[in-house]
Amino acid sequence: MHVFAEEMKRSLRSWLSFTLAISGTLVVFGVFFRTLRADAQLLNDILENFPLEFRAAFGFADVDMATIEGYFAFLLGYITLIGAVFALKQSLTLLSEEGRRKTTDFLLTKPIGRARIFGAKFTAVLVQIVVQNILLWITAFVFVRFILEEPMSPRLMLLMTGSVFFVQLFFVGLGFAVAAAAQKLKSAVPLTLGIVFFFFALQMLHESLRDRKLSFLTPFAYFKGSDLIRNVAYDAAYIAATLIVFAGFSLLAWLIYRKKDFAG
Amino acid sequence: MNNVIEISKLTKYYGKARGIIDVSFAVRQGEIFGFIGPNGAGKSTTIRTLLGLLFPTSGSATIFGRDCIRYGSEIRRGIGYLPAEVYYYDNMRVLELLKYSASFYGRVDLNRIHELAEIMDLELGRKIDDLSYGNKKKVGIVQGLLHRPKLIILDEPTSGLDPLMQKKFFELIREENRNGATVLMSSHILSEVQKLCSRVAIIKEGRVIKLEEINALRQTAYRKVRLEFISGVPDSIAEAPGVSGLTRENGEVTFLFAGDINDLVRRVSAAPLKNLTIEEPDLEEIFMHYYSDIE
Repeated sequence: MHVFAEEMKRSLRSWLSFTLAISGTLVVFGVFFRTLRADAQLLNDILENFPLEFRAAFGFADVDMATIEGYFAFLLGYITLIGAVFALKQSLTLLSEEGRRKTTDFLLTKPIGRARIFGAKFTAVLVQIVVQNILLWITAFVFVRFILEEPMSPRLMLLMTGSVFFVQLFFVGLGFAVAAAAQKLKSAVPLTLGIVFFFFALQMLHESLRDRKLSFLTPFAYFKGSDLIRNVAYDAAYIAATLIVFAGFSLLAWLIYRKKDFAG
Repeated sequence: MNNVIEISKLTKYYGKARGIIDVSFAVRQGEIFGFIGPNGAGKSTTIRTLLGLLFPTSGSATIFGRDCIRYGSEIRRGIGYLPAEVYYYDNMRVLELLKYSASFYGRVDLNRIHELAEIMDLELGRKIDDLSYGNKKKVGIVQGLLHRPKLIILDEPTSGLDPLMQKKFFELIREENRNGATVLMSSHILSEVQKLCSRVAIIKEGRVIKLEEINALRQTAYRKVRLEFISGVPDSIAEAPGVSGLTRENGEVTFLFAGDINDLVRRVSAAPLKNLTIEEPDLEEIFMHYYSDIE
């Protein structure tokens, strides 16, 4: 329990800033919506002028930005991006902490097995993400219902905000596997940004090419706002893909970590 | 007599690079065992394998009679370890770190932290980040001893400690040893091993080349002698028993000496000196001349 508590304590500052960024983005851009909805037709007309590929790449090709659902779908695309950066950065940071800061000789020589250390770090990241998502959902719900006073379906809102969580799971698995496999990770942030933007670029490419096979390569394509609005449900194939990547990479991370050599 | 540590044909390769090869020795209960060899000989590799930080390529090791990989976490409950290089979580305060360390061992008497900190002259309220290397080393010593371990493993313990602290530290280790703790200590400085240990294993290029009672080592005090003569170097010096690795340059002669010092002084006094230094040689130098033929 003490390793978990220590990891949580060490993560607190980063968690707070990212959680504020996520919920803050929602609120700040949500406020814009009040102005936008008054001139809804004008907005859609302006956006129509952009080329289709451009609109697709930036996530407003097939949603009506003048409705709260459409606007939310667009906005959540970017909130997901912030969430993905947090999930990957935290996973890389926590599992590589000892190797990076050379505290291996402290923690791993204590009377505690590697399973418990790995478990504590893994749980710490998951708890941080779960709480972050609960706060995101509460913020979204309160904001839409009481500030914007829009009648958005709670189920749709849950699906939309929940997609942030699933994308984060994808990056948690990936992050743990990379951190376990890397001999020495100097700094987590540049690697995080590189990996997340690679997947985001893949998504932009996919939006232009519209190839379903390609879409499985990037979690940003799994939970498209326009699909959620149309089906009011997740695509089971994508949920399966997310869970397989999360479970598979997490397992791989553990298999590497349990036999990893920590040379001085 | 019980063995606390038993190492049998322990081998570790890092990919193709040599770590240690067929290392075997045992540490008896209650002794202070020295593990010496030049830098890069495999001391840390052996210790890190005992602690479960590395997985052996082949061979095995037991501590308290149990396999150190399989029962790693149970075994480590009884071990106190001071690493060669100390790194801690920078944003913690010393006391916070020590309490965190103590939390892994169940019930630890927190007075013990204050007691040890006082002996080692360590301020508990300071941030780890603000500590000098020597002070971090003291944190290492306190966190290695606070749970009264039955086995103390020290990897190059004195690097970074000033002579006064080294002395205090050695006293502390002797005290723990008197109270029943077994000690395994690695070093590349022969004199500190000679001061503290009862037996030593000598490791070179990954292999243990000799196990020796310390008395045998103590009798041979290696000295590095440099003599500068005003005129020529007397021939009788090169012929003195115990001289090896002699190099001559103009009026200056340098050699390692492990013989009767009175005999040497007599020979030196035959010619007028300009300068004389006698110092402790590096282990590397001793190895080069005294252990180069042992394989």
